[in-house]
Amino acid sequence: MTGQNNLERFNEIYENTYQSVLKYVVCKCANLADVNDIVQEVYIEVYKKIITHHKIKHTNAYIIGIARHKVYQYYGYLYRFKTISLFGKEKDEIELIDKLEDETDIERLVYDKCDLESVWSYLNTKSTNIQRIFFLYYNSELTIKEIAETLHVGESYVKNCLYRTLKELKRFMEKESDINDK
Amino acid sequence: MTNKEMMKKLFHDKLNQEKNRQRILARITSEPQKQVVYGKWLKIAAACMLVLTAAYVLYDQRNPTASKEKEVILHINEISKPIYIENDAEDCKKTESELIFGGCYREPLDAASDAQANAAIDCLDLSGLDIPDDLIDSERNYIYHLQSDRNKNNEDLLQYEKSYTDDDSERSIKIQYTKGNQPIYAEYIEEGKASIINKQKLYIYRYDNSYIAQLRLNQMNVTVETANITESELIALLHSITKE
Repeated sequence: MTGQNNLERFNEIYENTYQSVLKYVVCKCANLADVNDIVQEVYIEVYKKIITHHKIKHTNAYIIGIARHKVYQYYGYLYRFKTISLFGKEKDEIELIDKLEDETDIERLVYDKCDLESVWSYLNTKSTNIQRIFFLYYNSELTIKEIAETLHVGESYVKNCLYRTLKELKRFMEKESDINDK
Repeated sequence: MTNKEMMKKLFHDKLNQEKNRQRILARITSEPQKQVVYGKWLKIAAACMLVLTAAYVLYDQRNPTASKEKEVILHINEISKPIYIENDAEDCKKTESELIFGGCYREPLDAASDAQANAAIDCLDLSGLDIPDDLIDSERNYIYHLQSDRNKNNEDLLQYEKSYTDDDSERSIKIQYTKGNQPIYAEYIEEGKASIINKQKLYIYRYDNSYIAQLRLNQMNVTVETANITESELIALLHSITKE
């Protein structure tokens, strides 16, 4: 295959698989800030396979396999054996609020004037699970139930993470706004 | 724009698909060149390692003593008094043999005209000995006897001796060996710490500039006596005696 054909093939695979790879890497990585690097590593590996005429069958599953390997490579193999308790610290910090109803408009809790950079910086200070939940809820547009199934946690836990973090985000943005006004 | 849309935009900007693609393509175009360079140097390094290894193996094969030295465990036992016991001059005059010590005489083999002893002198294979270059076979073989006179029988034969000396007779090596008897100096030397050369146990003693090495080889007791021979020359000699 010529270089041009390789590029075309690569772009095709990239378009078809980017979102699923992104979702996988976000769910597996330790920090959202690492996601871009890992995704790039994955697709560089994919490109190498293309130029060595490696036949890629079951493209999505194959590339997710590469992504898994790259995540482990990025963090070291200790990461694989590390027991990541989804309820880790959050178990003590977040109280389960079973009374939170599904139809609660979570978005209204966010301050209207939203500085995206500030929100991103704030989210990066939160735990990995909260970052994953936000990504899956806003970017992948999954429901709370789907998020719970993806991350193997309870729905209440997902709701609480969202609700509590958005409340904190709101207070954070209000403080930021007060500072800026001054 | 709703807040949900804004949050989606946030993730879209931060984990941007198109930006990532551009970065990937930039790395793809620059990385192959790096790989070629690294790959080339790795191959050169691997080739050098191979050559060095081959050279080392070749050198080791051509210098067996160098590698055999690793098989040497050396203990030189220092002795404080000389082995030789001075002979009574009067006794020496009476005999044609050299009195070594009480009851033991050293005599040139050919002088004894002992055909059987002559034939038996080669019971120890001394070919391939690593003798210092300045020493040559003296071609004088000796036997040690309990009797001083000519009428000797083999029951009195203690051991044989071959010797190598330099022109000035200052440096010498004597190799004494016996099949059924103890080394003649055995009772005069306290057993010291053993050395090992070529998996062969032996005892090495030093007095002044002389060495005595005693070992059991092919069911024979062998004693090597040296004068003014260096330790490394002695080790090389013992290597050649004990090699299989």
